[in-house]
Amino acid sequence: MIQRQKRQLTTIQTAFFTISIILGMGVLTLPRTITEGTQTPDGWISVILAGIIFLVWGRLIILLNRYYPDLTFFQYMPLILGKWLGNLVNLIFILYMILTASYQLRGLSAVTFLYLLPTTPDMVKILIFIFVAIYLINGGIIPIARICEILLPITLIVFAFVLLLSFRVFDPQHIRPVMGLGIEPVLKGTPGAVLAITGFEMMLILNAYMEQKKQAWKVMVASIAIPSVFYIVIYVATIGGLGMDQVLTLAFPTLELLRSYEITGILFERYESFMLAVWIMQIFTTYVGVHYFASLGFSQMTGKNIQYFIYGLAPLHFLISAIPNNLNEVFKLGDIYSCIELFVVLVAVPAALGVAWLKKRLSSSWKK
Amino acid sequence: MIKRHLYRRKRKSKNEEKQAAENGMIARDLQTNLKYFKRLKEHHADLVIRKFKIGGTDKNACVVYMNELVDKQVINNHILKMLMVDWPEAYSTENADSISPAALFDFTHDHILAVNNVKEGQSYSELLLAVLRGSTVLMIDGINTALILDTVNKKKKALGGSFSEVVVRGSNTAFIDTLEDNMALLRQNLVNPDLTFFELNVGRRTQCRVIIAYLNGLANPRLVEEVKNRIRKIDTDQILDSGYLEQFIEDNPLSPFPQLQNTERPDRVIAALNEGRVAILVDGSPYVLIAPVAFWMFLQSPEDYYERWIPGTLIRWLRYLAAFISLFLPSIYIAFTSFHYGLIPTELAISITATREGVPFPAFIEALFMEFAVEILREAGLRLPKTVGQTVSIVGGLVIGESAVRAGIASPIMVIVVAITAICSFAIPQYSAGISLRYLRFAVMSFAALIGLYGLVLFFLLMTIHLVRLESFGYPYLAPAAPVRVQDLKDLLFRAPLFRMKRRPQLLKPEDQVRQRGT
Repeated sequence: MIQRQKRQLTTIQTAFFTISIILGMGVLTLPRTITEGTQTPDGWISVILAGIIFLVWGRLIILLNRYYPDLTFFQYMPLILGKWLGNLVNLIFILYMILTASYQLRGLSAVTFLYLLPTTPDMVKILIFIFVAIYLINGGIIPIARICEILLPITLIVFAFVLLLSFRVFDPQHIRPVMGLGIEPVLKGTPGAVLAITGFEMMLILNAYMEQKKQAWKVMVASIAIPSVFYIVIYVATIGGLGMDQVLTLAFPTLELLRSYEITGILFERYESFMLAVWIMQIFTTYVGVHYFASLGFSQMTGKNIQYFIYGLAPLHFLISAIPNNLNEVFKLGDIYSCIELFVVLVAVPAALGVAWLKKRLSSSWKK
Repeated sequence: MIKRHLYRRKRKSKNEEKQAAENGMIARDLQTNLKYFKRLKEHHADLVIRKFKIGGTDKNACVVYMNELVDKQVINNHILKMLMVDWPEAYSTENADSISPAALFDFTHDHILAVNNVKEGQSYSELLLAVLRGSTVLMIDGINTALILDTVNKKKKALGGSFSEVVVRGSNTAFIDTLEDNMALLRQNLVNPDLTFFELNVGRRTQCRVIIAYLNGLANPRLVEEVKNRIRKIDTDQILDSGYLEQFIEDNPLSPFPQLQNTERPDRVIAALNEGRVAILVDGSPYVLIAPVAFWMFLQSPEDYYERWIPGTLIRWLRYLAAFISLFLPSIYIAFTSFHYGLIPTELAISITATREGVPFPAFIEALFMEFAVEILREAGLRLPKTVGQTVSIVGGLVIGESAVRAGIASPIMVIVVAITAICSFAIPQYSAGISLRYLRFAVMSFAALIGLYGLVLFFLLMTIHLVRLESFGYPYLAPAAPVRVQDLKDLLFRAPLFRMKRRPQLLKPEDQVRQRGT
């Protein structure tokens, strides 16, 4: 091979990668999860709020990365916090990713069961999915990033298309009044919105692979802003189309929105199949991303070949995904992993940043 | 062959000869050399050895050539006549003894032989190869150097139109079987001192000439070096066609997608050279290879650039759509009719069910049967003489389609689906890419038959994963879509106006990035 591929990602690739990891199950459930918190149609403000909060923490992540620009989170945590504590944080982070992966698998089988394949056994669906994923993961980070580059634009275009079509059932009355009950419901909805944007913290790892690290902050802003805007559009379209009361009763309101209208005269009357197709692709990129990073984490912690962990984690994901008994427990699983993620981002990152800063101060004052 | 002859020779001959033979060098003594060629003649009926005396002297000389490969006019008028009849008096009988063989040799070379291309050769293998390629070898007694005279008269077709890549607007001249003419076609249309032809010989038993063409100072030197290295590593009997070469140097032999482009159009090659790519010409093959390639190049036609940019862009989109349909349409039909009736419009669903009434097979078997018929028709039409071929495909298509529906084996909608698929697959401008999509179609159909739309999506993912992992000479196959090169997208999503394409594709890292300056 002449030019052995540099293991580095372009700026666009990094941003698309992070966005692809963020967009996953949340796309279908978000309008409900937020509205459960707010009980008013103000959820879109919650999303903005969550985005702003995460921008702050995103800034912290960037600052932390600057201490060790060429190392991943897994590599520099032991350096900052010490071997035991650092690896403990790493394990928690990996646990979060394993749970995320399992959640995606389970969510996928649930949705395909409800809308596509009522008779095919879940095991078959999940196993084929994992096999395809492993084929990609084995290629390493570059092919994964390239896949995101191809699939994300397709996703955004298809979503824009089907959401535009839903305009015929859109009723502005459904999203009024804005802040009718004041700021309090908005705040209550924020946790739901926060959970949907989880995934931006992958920059902790991706930064090490970036070609132009100066662009990291831009990538961070883009990968929080684009999903936020995307979610706002979905939220407004769904609430506006179905109304708040109905959304609360639906497991996957975004899909139901597409089922609620028919456009006659064109080849297709209903467009949920399009959305399902691209949504499966997004679940795929999310799954592949976390599966790869979890394997990478283990491999970098133990120094062993990543292949072992890629193959080792696959059955684990499969088993965990089989644990929840019903849809409610599946969503519980989602809440659990999001809490772990929040711990990593909200607690571990600032702590590590503080320690790294102190260490640097101390060592520089030592030199003086 | 050469080795064996040398070996036989070694056993029989005398000491001096033995030594010469061991080195593979020809002897000073003409008789010895003649013995070698005479022995060859036992197995080569078409080998001609013409012994003669130079002019009026008693110096022995001889020419050796392959009877059917040479231009006899040249041998008769410019070699034999010059040496025997027109030999100058000054070098005749009385002076002959005083002339050393070396002087005679030089005089012959400088003043007598009216042949344009003369080389010297000293080893048997070299001479033999030259003779086998149609040159004439002239040996003079007393000199251990022979002259190789270019008398090649290749059997070849006249230049003709393109078979497989026809355009409406633009030249349809195509490459032909002879390397020299193909090189001439490139030189003639790309008048540029930087155009480099680097020659390599490939093949253990038949030395086949392979030319690597590139624009010096434009093509990335590392790419050129890589191409050369890969070709040098080939160790095989014979390269019959550039298709052989392609299979030896491609990156991933297991991939369903071609990783080198083959074309018979000089304009396509020249466009590729101008982008900094490398072309590989093989003697005897009218198809020239281009490396590296990207997936999208197989969906583009030179005509896209000859027409104005708006129709060029629209036709390109049409072709993308055609490629998509030719790959996915039957499986979409299978998925929706076997799994997701609910997702298609009610009326359409009702009419499909109505037409499928009485069809005893599931949609998958039905589709498989019809696709199979189409593929056989296509293959049969291809192998038959042109005029018959068309009749067969039209009659076969109509008759089989019609009677399959009448007999209740296939539904009319399935016939429509299969027909549209077939037509779309003809819209792909490159045959080799078309084949890939043709057999991948059957794979998608099985995915769709097993798990419906979910299977379709998974297959799409699988294929995309394979494509992003694939590389052509180390360059990503799906570029510029992945990795995204915003600059290069103008030639993928659109066919940007020519005056907008100011830079060459960035991915190839050409040495000179700018294609045009100014406004």
